[in-house]
Amino acid sequence: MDLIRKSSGASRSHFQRGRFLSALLAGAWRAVPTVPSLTEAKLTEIAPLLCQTGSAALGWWRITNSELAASPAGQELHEAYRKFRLSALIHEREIAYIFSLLRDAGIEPVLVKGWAIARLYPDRGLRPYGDIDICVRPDRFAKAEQALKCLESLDGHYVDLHSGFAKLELWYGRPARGLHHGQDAHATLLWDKLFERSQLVSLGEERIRVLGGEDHLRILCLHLLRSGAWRPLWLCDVAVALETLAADFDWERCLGNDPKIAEWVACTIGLAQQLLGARSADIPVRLSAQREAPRWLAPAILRQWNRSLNPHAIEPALPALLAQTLEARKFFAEIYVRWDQPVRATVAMRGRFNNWPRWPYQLGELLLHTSEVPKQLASMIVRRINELNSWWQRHRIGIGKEEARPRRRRIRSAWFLRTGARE
Amino acid sequence: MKRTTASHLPKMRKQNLIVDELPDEVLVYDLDRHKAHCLNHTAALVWRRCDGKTGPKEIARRVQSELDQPFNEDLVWLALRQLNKIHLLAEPIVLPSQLAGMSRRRMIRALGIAATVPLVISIVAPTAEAAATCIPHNGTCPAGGLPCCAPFNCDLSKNQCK
Repeated sequence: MDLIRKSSGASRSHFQRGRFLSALLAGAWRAVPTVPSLTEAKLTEIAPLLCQTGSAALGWWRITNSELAASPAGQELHEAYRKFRLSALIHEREIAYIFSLLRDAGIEPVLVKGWAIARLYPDRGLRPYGDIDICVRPDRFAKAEQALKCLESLDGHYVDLHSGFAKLELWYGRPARGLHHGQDAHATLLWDKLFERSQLVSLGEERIRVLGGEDHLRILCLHLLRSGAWRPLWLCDVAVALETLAADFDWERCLGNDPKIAEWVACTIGLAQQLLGARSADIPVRLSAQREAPRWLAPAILRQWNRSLNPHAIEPALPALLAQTLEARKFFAEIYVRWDQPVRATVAMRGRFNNWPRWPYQLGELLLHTSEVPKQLASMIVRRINELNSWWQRHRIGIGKEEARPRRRRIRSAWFLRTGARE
Repeated sequence: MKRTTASHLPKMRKQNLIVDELPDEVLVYDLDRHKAHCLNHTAALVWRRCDGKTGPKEIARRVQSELDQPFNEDLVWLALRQLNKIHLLAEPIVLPSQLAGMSRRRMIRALGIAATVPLVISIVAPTAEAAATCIPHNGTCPAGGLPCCAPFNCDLSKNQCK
């Protein structure tokens, strides 16, 4: 946190709420967390962020034994905790059912993320998870899809079936070039390797197969970085995994052979220790040397937490920017929110986590995204044409002017019809 | 007035409910109606004693001995009224005439009780969106402002991420 204190006053305001989040969530995953030294005003300020990022129940757990629990913000967090408890119970039933369905079809699945990490928390309501990620051996994928066909409408919960582990952010290397059916062969090899290291854990009466501890910690670290670390919950996951390592945990297996990926994993572990006070004995020498996070990283993550903005939910750049062309401040804010993603950019460009400036990676990522501009432009034009078309249809069949007017106003304010004359 | 007949003996509903017991409260999820409820400790005690054989007077006596605090039949009726409303009883119960048309707030005021009031609150049903980052392929959209996972887009004609 020293690095953060050295930053200028102006930039400090950019991660003020992120710092409060960090202070509240430090150690919040433990069975008996310490009482936080946070004022009610600060809690009120960050409660919406906690709710947006799925960390509300952890916030509640941390304040349960403090006076903050009775505050309105505390009650809001308590409500979230209740919801997550029930949600977890429903999910657990579903997971057990999905496993029984697949096993009846002769398929042995592996559950990743979600419950696989939630089970490590001291209370089932602390770690919410939305979708159920199930991986099956690539050659059994079609059969698994068939077996789970009956679950297509599972009351708002999503079963995400994966063919092998290829789509998960494991990065244990890429398929060798020149191989016949290289991609398939690689996916199957990866499956066999990770399946062999997977473990069975109890969920009620069912035994659920999850990844081995090493692969799991690795996936948590890489998923966090790849997603830009905008959710503090993901760093709590890393902290929980770190504090519940098995006695025979194999660090070499977790870090892997690729020095760059090992650096990423080590860096994330360093972050969990720096921002959340995660404790872990037996950190190997190789990891200790690498886990010192670069100076820019903690402030960058606190800025992400300060915004708590899901990058997936950010509107495509082109329409968002065009909509703000007349307001310079908002226009530059739109640019900044897309630019200020140094963690995601570094991973997207497969860069090193060192103290070098991040802008080359950020620029590189921006250029990668320019390929999406024609698609965004085409989609905007199609949407506008559809709007014009439906307006024309309504106009032609003689719908009253009262109803037609708002639609016309909306169309006139569209970016491509703006000719300087505003309504 | 509070005399009960055998057909009016309250019985807790057990089917299609997910019940989660916490130290101070009980969370209930109704799988039929997709509604979630939170019963405070007292309401949960009353609910658990609704076995279809015990009348409100006896329930009050048992709850009182468990709580070690005064707990009368009126409070049992207050709890039953709320449990009945959220369908946590196997069969609807007939309330005493003077309590039937009363709101919960008025009932509490009329009973003049502050402590050990059985309370049931409904909570917004848990949703996957609260925790999901994006909606996966073939997932229903739009859902709570959540986007489809890349590279999929929401197909509004089918309301699915395609």
